[in-house]
Amino acid sequence: MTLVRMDIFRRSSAAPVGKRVCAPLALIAAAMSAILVAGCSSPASSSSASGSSTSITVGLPAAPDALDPTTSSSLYGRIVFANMCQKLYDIDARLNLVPQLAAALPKISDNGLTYTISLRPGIKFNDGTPLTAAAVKTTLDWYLTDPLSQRASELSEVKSVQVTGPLTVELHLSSPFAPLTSILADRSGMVLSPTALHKLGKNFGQDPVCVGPFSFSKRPSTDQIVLVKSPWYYGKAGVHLQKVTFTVITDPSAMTADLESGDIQVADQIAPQDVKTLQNNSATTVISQNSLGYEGLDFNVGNVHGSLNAPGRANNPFAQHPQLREAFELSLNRNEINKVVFDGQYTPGCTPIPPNSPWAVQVTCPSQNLPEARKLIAASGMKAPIHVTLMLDNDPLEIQLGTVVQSMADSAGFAVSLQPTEFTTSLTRAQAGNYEMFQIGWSGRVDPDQNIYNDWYPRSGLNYTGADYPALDKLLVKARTTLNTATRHSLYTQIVQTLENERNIIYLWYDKFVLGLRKNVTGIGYYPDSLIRLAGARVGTG
Amino acid sequence: MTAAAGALTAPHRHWARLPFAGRPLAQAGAIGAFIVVAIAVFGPLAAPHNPSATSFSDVLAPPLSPHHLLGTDQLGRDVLSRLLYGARTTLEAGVFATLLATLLGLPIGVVSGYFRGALDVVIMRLIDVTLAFPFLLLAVGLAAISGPSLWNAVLALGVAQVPAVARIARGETLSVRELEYVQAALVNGERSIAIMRRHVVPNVLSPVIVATTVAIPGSIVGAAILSFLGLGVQPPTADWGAMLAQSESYLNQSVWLGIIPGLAIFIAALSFNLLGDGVRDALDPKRRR
Amino acid sequence: MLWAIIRRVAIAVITLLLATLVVFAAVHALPGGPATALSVDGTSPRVVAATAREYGFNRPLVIQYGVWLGQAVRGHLGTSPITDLPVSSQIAQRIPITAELAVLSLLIAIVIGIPAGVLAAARPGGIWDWIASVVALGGLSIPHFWFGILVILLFAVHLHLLPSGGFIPVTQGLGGNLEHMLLPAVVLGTGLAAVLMRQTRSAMLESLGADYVRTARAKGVPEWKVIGVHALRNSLITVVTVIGLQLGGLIAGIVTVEEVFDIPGIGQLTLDAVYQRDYSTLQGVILLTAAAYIIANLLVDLAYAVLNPRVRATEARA
Repeated sequence: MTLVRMDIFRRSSAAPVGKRVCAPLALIAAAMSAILVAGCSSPASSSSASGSSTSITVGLPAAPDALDPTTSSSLYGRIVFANMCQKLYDIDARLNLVPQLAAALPKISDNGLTYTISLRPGIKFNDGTPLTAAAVKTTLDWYLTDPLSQRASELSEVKSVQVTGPLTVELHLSSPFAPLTSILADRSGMVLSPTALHKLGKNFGQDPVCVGPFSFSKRPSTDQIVLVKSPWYYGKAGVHLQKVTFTVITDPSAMTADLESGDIQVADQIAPQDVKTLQNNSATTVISQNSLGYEGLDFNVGNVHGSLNAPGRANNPFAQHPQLREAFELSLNRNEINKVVFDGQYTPGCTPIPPNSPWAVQVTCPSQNLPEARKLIAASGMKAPIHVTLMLDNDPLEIQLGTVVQSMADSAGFAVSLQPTEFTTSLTRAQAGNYEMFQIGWSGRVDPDQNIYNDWYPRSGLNYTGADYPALDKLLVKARTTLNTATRHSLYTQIVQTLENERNIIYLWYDKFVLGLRKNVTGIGYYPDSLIRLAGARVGTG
Repeated sequence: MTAAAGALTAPHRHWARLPFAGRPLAQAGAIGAFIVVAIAVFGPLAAPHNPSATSFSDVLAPPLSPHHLLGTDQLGRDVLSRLLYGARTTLEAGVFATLLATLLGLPIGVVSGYFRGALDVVIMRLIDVTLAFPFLLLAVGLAAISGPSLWNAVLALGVAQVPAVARIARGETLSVRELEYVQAALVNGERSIAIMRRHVVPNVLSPVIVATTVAIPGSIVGAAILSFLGLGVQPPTADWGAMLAQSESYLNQSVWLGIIPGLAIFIAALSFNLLGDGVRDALDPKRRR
Repeated sequence: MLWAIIRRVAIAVITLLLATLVVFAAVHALPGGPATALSVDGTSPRVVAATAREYGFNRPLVIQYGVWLGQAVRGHLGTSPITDLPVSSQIAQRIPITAELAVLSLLIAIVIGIPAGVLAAARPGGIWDWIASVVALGGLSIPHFWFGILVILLFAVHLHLLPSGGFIPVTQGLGGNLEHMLLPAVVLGTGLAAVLMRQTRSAMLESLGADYVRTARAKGVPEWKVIGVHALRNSLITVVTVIGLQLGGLIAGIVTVEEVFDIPGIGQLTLDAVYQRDYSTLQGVILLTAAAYIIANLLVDLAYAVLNPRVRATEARA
């Protein structure tokens, strides 16, 4: 569950820091929570959790990277941005796209090549300068051209941006691109203050200025970020908090303990084993959301020269004999994995689109079938046991997952050896094609294209498996260039079936995010994108 | 025992007859260490189950369960069997790391201390460089490059201890080479290598053995820490540190999962420490005069 | 003597350069780079190349080292490619925290370890020797993280006497600060105390067997003076060396203890930097720890020279 293709910081390259190395603390707090459940209060709580307050402290499990929407790639950065950098569009609780800084959803020309975006009038950046069409153009041009921009690839279909009125811009595309609106509902849709951008340039992250309920105040150290209420925010009447502090608490159990003691009021990503502790505490509660992403196993099928180069045929039994991939899938029991490793809290599944998505495709996942798996192995002509190395993150829970997979596959005739690998190393290897099997996931996006295309289209950075299926490629391109929702739906149904037949990736489960909070905290917007929206939050008495 | 110290204790100790006679601590250590070594060697034969065999229907069974004396872990594996198998990997890491450190550190230290001068300066600065580089980072780096393995752990732990051994050996050599008979040998024109072998090493050996006996349990603990941090053995190999690490999420349901391997590490390290203490006293050359 | 000091300082500087060079090479040998750690879409080669250019990672290592060294000498440690924050301020934030932990635990170790070692050596085989030995060996045998867990369970969870972890700056109250530091310092200090006790005892036994002690005794010098002055003074040579040696171990121990007690010190900063391939921060941190270590050892060396007349004589000749 630790590996997420995007938003590496979420529970990956930074999380291991906490997770792996903080294992001892997890141990402690797990032991503590046993006693806390039994009715003890948290030790030495220097709590200040009485009386209503205008400030709030949010615990994040890992430090955000630079607070610059141009270069940002961590989920934690997105959580901070959600409160100080609003976007042209946003999603609502039911994953619908809604206008945020834009006045309405974009008007798309019939050929799908022109997006007309009109802005809400009277909006000011947090430095008091007005939000104009020119500002949008400046921002998007910067996203497209800055060499360090992580947005450029998301916006690669955008050919040019044209200001057609004081509050109207037109985006001209090189080809129709259905996910564009959803992309403008993410970091690519954050509008930067041209004044600040002009002043700071690539150092924008040192003092970011956007439109938002809060404005950046300071980041005294990597793990402390302070925002204050913006006097310029158009909806400031509905903002109750004066100050928001994000603080990094890498250890999941320490996070829980701090929430219980009242040192923090909101805790991001509560560990599955701590959920009950918080539910049983009269002062705390949890809200949960299913992830938009997926987790699964990648096989190296055709990644012989690196994922950015033309795929070939990898030299391992699973690449040579596709039926072995099917046999491997049939050796696994998804429900049991969920039960044993994740305490039954996650959702088993077998497609890249989670069931809570409006784009979810109804499929029946194959259940464990050992005789059939053995038959397939025999049919491949390979002699059991078939040896395979599974690369996975070096973290106790991951290793447990690996052990369960190992044990299940063993009964079918696979000898799986586990190769726990430091996260950045594993990404490097996966990209280079230097692996056989890899446990990895993706944090997920609203548009299905963003959950599939980069993993399966040849020469995409995330096509670790070296997928190369011309028929599939055609479907993928058609699905992202078609604007009609019903047509797209049926295309994704076909795509998901194709993926299931090829099995370069065996999709296994969907994560669940749990937000912990003090009961006196109300009004937080927490949607399946797992961002924490504090614009309407209050900290009440108690 | 020194003459002075001897005067303070019972006059006639026929300590040479029985190992560590009259030193119950050392005896306890010897017995404990013997048991740990015996488990490491024969434990797998005595293990009631396959240490890697999972049973998802029988997870987290408490100790004294019908088929599992020490219970089962979160994957239904028999804790006793994992403990018995784990003794070997845990001990291997500790012993090999110490051996590596001694084999490298002793000659480095003796040569450095004996020749002094420029060679000494160069060697000791290199040692400083090694020391200034925290071994945990070395282990993290090695694991990042080639993945966790027993031999990476041994390498990291062993290299980390070379400076300690080398410095102690050097320090002692510096003193020893000032002794009259060594100076006499120098004046007599004996070859350096012979002097080091005949006069220096035997005298330096005692403190180095103290250092290494201290180091064996230290290495056991170090190996456990590395393993606990996911930098040691490759899963699902049974290992005490790894067992602790794997138990972390389950302590609220099953405290014994963390207690048992922790206690095992403690007892093993304590036994070797007690034994090492006894060895130190027994090998003290001055006591044999 | 002065010449010896100058020489040692010069050597220390060379050692520091060597250490940073080794670390520099080692850091860059890790697979992947900051761009990989940060990649959004599987490390777009464009962004990787741009990041490399931006931070100079594409230049030959020797040049990078030269540039970095030149900047470091002038006190510029660069900015982190991950957070865009200046490395020096990041380190400055963490130093006081880790330094406090280190000093406290060293104090605890010295206060417990040396007297216990002397006491044990005074009557080998006596009751104090026994008690001290068992306690010290026990202390040596408990893994830091395990001991940390045990004390947290006892003092924080059961007795509610002390917090289980976290950190409060001195500026927010000395009481709260010490409250949070006590358990980690004790955990870190106990292991050190055990080492010190053993080495003190061992060195004391050697000294007590030496001719000059016998002579002193024969001359009728009181026993407390024999032990407390003659023997101890000589034993301290070994003990001081051991303290110096322990600093390396202390740094490693600090990393573990900071994690167990969730203390946002240098150790956590370092591990974060390794995992994110934050070269700038990592190099800055290692430069700092190596410097701290080498300076401490320089002091040990000098103390050694002062304490051991034989070495002093040799140095004087050199």
